[in-house]
Amino acid sequence: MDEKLPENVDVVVLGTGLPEAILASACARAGLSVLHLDRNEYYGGDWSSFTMSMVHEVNENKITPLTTEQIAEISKIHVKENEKLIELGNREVVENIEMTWIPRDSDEKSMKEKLEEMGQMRRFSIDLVPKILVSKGNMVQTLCDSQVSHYAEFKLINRQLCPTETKDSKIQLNPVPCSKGEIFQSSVLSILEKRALMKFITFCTQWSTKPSEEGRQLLGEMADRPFSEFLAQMGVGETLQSFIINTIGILQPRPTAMSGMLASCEFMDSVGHFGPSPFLFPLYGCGELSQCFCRLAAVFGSLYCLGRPVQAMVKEDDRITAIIANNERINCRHVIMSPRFVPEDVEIQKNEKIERVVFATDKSIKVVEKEQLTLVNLASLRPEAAVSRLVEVGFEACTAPKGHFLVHATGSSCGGDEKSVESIAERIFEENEVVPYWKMSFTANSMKFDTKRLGANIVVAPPVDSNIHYSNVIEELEDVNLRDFSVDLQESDVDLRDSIVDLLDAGVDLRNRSVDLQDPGVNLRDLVVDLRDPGVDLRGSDLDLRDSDVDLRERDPGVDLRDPGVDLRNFCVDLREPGVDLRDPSVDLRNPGVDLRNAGVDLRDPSVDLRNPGVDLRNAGVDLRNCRQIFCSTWPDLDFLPRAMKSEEEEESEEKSEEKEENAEETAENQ
Amino acid sequence: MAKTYDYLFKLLLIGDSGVGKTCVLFRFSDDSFNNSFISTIGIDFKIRTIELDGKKIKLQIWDTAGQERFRTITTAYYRGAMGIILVYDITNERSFENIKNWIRNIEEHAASDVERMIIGNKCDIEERREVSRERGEQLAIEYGTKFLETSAKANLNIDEAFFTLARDIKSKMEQNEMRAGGSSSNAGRVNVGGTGTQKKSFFSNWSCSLL
Repeated sequence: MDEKLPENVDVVVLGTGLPEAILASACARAGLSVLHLDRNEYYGGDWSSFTMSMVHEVNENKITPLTTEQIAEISKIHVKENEKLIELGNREVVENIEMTWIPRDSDEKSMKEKLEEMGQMRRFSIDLVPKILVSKGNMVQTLCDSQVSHYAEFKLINRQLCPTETKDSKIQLNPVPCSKGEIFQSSVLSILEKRALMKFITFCTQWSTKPSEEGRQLLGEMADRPFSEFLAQMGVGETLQSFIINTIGILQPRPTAMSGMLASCEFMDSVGHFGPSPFLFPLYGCGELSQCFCRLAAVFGSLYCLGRPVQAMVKEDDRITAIIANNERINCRHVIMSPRFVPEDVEIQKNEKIERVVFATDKSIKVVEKEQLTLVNLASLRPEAAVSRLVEVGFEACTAPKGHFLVHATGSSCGGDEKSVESIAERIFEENEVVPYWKMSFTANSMKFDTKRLGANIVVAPPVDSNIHYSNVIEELEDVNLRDFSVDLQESDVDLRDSIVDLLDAGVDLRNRSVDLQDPGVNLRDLVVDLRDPGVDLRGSDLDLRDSDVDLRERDPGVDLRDPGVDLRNFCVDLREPGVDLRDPSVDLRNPGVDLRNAGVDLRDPSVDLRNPGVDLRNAGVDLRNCRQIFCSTWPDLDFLPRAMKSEEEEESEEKSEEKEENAEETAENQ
Repeated sequence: MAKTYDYLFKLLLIGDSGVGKTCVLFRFSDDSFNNSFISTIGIDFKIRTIELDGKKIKLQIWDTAGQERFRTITTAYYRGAMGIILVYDITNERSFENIKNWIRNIEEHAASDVERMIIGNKCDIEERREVSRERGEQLAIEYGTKFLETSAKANLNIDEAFFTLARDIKSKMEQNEMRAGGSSSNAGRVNVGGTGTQKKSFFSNWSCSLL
């Protein structure tokens, strides 16, 4: 299995965390050759989910920096005269990891032994970065656009709890009503409050569609004031204020009037999209998402290699020319890396420390008949901290064995120990008679670097962050200028297999084929020789052969296409005419009529070997720069997939909608 | 309107690089064969609906997307798989020995009750055979799976392999239906890619489409 890595690729991606995986899949889909490497044996890097047995092994996995001898050795073999070797870093994104099995009096046999005996250890999926997806948010959109949605399943976060401290300083966990029915049935709110809430919802809806003059003015004046002040202005009482702020606070901690309104609207917009709750959780944990994007990248030809040392970069002037991994040199034109790989001497611009604790329990923090996926916003108990929340996911979310739960506490640090998310979680456990049997704590570092001096062709992917949603990650990824990557495509060996869509968009319509490229009469291979000549600039010329008085017929056989005056774009060779030999002087090249753009070669035709097309498009004047469609809503069409496959997918989605209709009918009948 | 199938089974193909997984897939789904070796690119999954005992069964068969090359198949690949076909090449001893590693992989990542089957592909190339049929059968007995030698090129036993596996899954499923329980409830699973997922909510007629 020790196959060699490729010697040349367009893009090397270091780290298989979610942002790197999304970038890798975008590059692969755009037709770039991608090599995706990770030092770990597993996918996901600092965005992984682990089984219970894995999480203990991973902790012991340490990477040592290169020794001077190793650096000298690598330099001798792999680094050329003008190049410089830069050792890659191993930043501690996750640090101070501690894990313990907590002995319990009630257990006759330790829970660890019990779980091991029953083979349940692998049923856990312990997230390093537990997040949720907002139903109408940009992550869901990205999943749909990229069709990664095929690979993952989700469940609704069906319970949001809002803690309040009672007079005897107990923590009461109140369910937050999301839907209309829930609001009316809620016992937390008085009738007056319910009415005020409905009024507020109406205001939000109006504001987001066609705001009244009054509403716009009010928000304009108060945009940066606290949301609570704005709510008070709207006539919302204190209880309801804290209720609203707690509910949307999970999306937007410490909201201002403007950010609070935006979050409220996002929240309401997402309610009902997939069900009564606005939030989704990926089955088997959030680490699944990076794997799913990696699969997409692989489907589009990206090569995966995990568990190999990724040692250094080779730099020439201000560009990285190669990566050294597994003592092999891989030449590349671009490098994408997770923050973990940023060389140690690069200064950290900003570092947000995120406090994380995970508990394993065998009882929910609030038991109800049916198992729930639960979100608890702890902001009201830790007003000084920007982030404080719990996520409880268990068997229903496929992250724990039946009857077991993982409780993820996430918080930014503030004040003393008694105010940590960990201590609040422990209070909640105690008051609800939950006794955790396992605990892991660590600090996650959300690091940002100034990477400009590192190299012109390096992208450092966004770090893990403390937000509960993925919006910021996606926004940052959209800012990554992948278009820079494709500028160089002209100089590179374009892989035609994946770039057909782009060629179509470039204005060259190859779809209505009538030319058989294999027709022996048209000798494209000979034409190529001339086109490849580096001296020919076929694009820049303004001489039109049709109007020139050069009669090619009177020339020698073997017309010199290298003549810089020839504008091949207006060349108008009738390729449809059988038996044309371009070298043959008898062809009247002045004959107008062939527009290659309309010639319609079907590149999907399997008989044409596109991998070895013989035609070198590198200098052919097809400008790929403007046709790269890389991100989000501009994912390229799947037109070039085998037709059968596509129709089956469509068929499937049709069937799904049919099912939906059926279900809808059933429910209607039941009612 | 009625569903066009009674059951949907997710099947996986697993085995070393170059043993013919994609060829087996194409033979079964499209009844086509391409001799040239191209590492799998652009193949996600294929679908074929078959009929067993009067039931329409839709088989969704996933390819490895080339991720087996460096043994980097995502664990997500195994999620929800009901049947796995382990493929080795009878002209390649190494691919046969690696079946054990792949089985270990399956035990680690796939559901414990997943149906498995071993097939020795390329059985049309008798002159280059390195693995005897008896050894294949022996291995299958060891792991308690069914076994077939196949050829995607000559179209030998390909349909049989898939039909056998599908039949085993179906009977297991029908037994389980009587007992119920097992994995977490399928109810409430959301596929965000579906188009008809817009449910009417009380917010929807106020449509708040700011973002």
